[in-house]
Amino acid sequence: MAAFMEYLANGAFFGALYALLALPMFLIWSTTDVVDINIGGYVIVAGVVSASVGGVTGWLLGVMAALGMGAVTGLLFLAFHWLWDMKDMMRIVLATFGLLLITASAVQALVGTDNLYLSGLSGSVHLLGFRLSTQGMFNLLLASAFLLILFIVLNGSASGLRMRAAAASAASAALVGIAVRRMQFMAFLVGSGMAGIVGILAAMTTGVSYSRGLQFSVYAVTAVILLGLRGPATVFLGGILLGIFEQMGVAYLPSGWSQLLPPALILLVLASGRSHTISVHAVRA
Amino acid sequence: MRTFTVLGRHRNLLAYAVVIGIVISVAQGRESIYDVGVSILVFGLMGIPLALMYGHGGIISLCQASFAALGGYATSILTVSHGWSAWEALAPSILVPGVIAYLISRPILRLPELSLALTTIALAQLWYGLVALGGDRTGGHVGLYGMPALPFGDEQLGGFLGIAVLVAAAIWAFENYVRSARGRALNAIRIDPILARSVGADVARERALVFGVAAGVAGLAGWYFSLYVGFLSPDSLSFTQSFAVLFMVVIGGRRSSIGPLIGSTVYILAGDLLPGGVAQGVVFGAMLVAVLLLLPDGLASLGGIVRRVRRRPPGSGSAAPRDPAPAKRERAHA
Repeated sequence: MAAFMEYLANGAFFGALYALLALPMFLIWSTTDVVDINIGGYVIVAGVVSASVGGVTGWLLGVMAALGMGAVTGLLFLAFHWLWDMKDMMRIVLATFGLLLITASAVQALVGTDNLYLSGLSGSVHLLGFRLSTQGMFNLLLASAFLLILFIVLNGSASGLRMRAAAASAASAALVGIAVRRMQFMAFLVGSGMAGIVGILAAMTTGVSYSRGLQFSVYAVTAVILLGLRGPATVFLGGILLGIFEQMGVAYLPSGWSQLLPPALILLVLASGRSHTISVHAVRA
Repeated sequence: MRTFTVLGRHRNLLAYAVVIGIVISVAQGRESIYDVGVSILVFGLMGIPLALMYGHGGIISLCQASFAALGGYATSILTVSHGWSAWEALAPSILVPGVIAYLISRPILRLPELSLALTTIALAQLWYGLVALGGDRTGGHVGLYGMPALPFGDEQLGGFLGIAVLVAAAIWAFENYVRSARGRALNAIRIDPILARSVGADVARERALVFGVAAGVAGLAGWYFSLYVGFLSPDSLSFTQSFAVLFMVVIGGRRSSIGPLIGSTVYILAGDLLPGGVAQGVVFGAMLVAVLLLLPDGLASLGGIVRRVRRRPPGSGSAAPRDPAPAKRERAHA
C-alpha cells in the first residue's frame, strides 16, 4: 500500500509538469483554434538556455527565449490570417510542426545531443510515512499557483475577460471592439512564457534535450484532451492524471508497455465519442 | 481529337512516364541512382493515396507509414516464418492494412479534422509500441530479416521498373477516381458533408472506402519495401516516416496526383545533399512553413500560377494582389 501511495504521489509530481504544460496548450487552443505543436519547442529552448547559463540569469534568459519563440509563432499565425481566409486550421497546426523541427534542429546545433540538467531542489521529505521528492512537491505547488493565477487573470482582469470573449466567439468579440487578433497573439506570448517555465522545471527534474520537443507536445495534447477542453482546472487535472497513469504504468505494467499509455488514452478518449469535449466551441474558461 | 483529350487528361501520367524513361537512360545500370529512385517512388506510392484522402477528402492521416509497416510485416512474417513466396504474400499485404483501416475508419472518421490527426498519431505510436514489444513474431526492436528478393527479374532495373509501374497505376487510379462520380462525391463531402448527404452521397461509406484503399496501397508499398530492403524493424516505417509522407504531400501538392512524387523527390534529394540532421531539420521545417503559408496547394501548383501570370494582360498589375481581400473573395467563390 505504501509503495502504491508513493507511486501515486510521484505520478502527481510528474503530472504537475504536464498540467503546467496543458495550461498554455489550453490557452492557445481555445483562443486561436490552433494546436501549437511548437509548445514542446518552447520547453526545450527554455530548458537548455537555463541549464547552459545557470542561476537566476539562466531562468530569465530561458523564459525570454521561449517568449521570443512564442512571438514568432504568433506572428506566423497572424500572417496566415492576413494572407488567407483561414478555414483550414490544420495548415497552421502543420506549420507549428515545421517551427518545432527548426527549433529542435537549432537546439541540437547549439548545445548538442546531451540531456542537460539544471541543479534543482535535492532531497526528499518524509510525510505520513511516505518519502516525497522535494523537487516534485515544488513542481506541484508552482503548477497549482499558476493555475490559480490563470484563473484570477481570466476571470478578474480586463485582458483576461477580453481573451475569454475572443475564445468564445471571435466574431462577437470583434463586434464589441475587442482586438481579437491582438488577444490571439497575446495567447501565444503568455502560453510560450508558461511553457518556458515548464522547461526550467523539466531541466531541474528530468533534464531536457533537443529530441524531447515532440514528446512534450504530445503530453500536453494528451493532458488537454483527457478530460476535455473545458477549462483550466479540467486540463490541469488531466495533466495530473496523465502523470499518475504514467507512473502506475511504469510500476505495474511489463517493461516497455507504459509507453503505450499516452496514445492508448488518446484513442480511448477520442473513440469513446467524447470528441465534442475538444471542440473549441465547447470551451468556456 | 479524342486522343488529344485523353492525352491531356492523363498529362501527369505522361510526364511521369517521360521522367522514368529519362532516369533509366541516365542511370545506365548505376545502383545508386536506382536506389534513390526507388526511395522516391516508395514514398510516392504511400503519398499518392494520402493526397487523395487529404487533398480531396479532407481526411488527414499521420499513420500512412504504419499501414505500410502492417503490409511489410505481413509480408515478412508470411515469407520468413511460413515460407510463402513474395507473390503469395502480396494479397495479404494489401488486404490486412486495408481491412483493418476500413474497420477502424467508422468510429474515427466521425471526428473533426484535428481530432482525426491526433487519433492517427496515437494509432501510429500504438502500432510502433506493439511491434517493438512483439517478441519473436515481429523481431522486437531488432526486426525481421531474410525476406526473399523482389519477384521482378533483374535486381536493379527490374526492381526500379516494378515500383515505377506500381506508382504509374496509382497515378492512373488517382486521376480516374477524382474525375469519377465517387471522386466528385468525395470532394463534395470535404466541402460540405451535410449538403453531400442531401444529394445522396453516403458520407461514412465513401470516407471509409478511401481510408481503407489508401491503407491498402500503403500496404502494397510496405510489401515492396520489405522485399527490396530485405529487412524490417519498427523504425523502418515509423511515425517519423508517416510525418515525412505527409510532409511530401504538403510540399508537393495535396490535390495533385504527382504532387507526392514532387514532394518525395525534394525530400529524398535534399536529404542526400544536406550535410546532416541539423541542416535537414532547419531546411525541411522552413520549407514546410513557407509552402503552407505561401503555396497551400504545394509546388505542383506553381505551374498553374506561372500560367495565370503569363495570361495576365500587360499593365494589369503585379501577380500577387496587394490587397488580399479580392483574393479571399475569389477563393470563397471557388
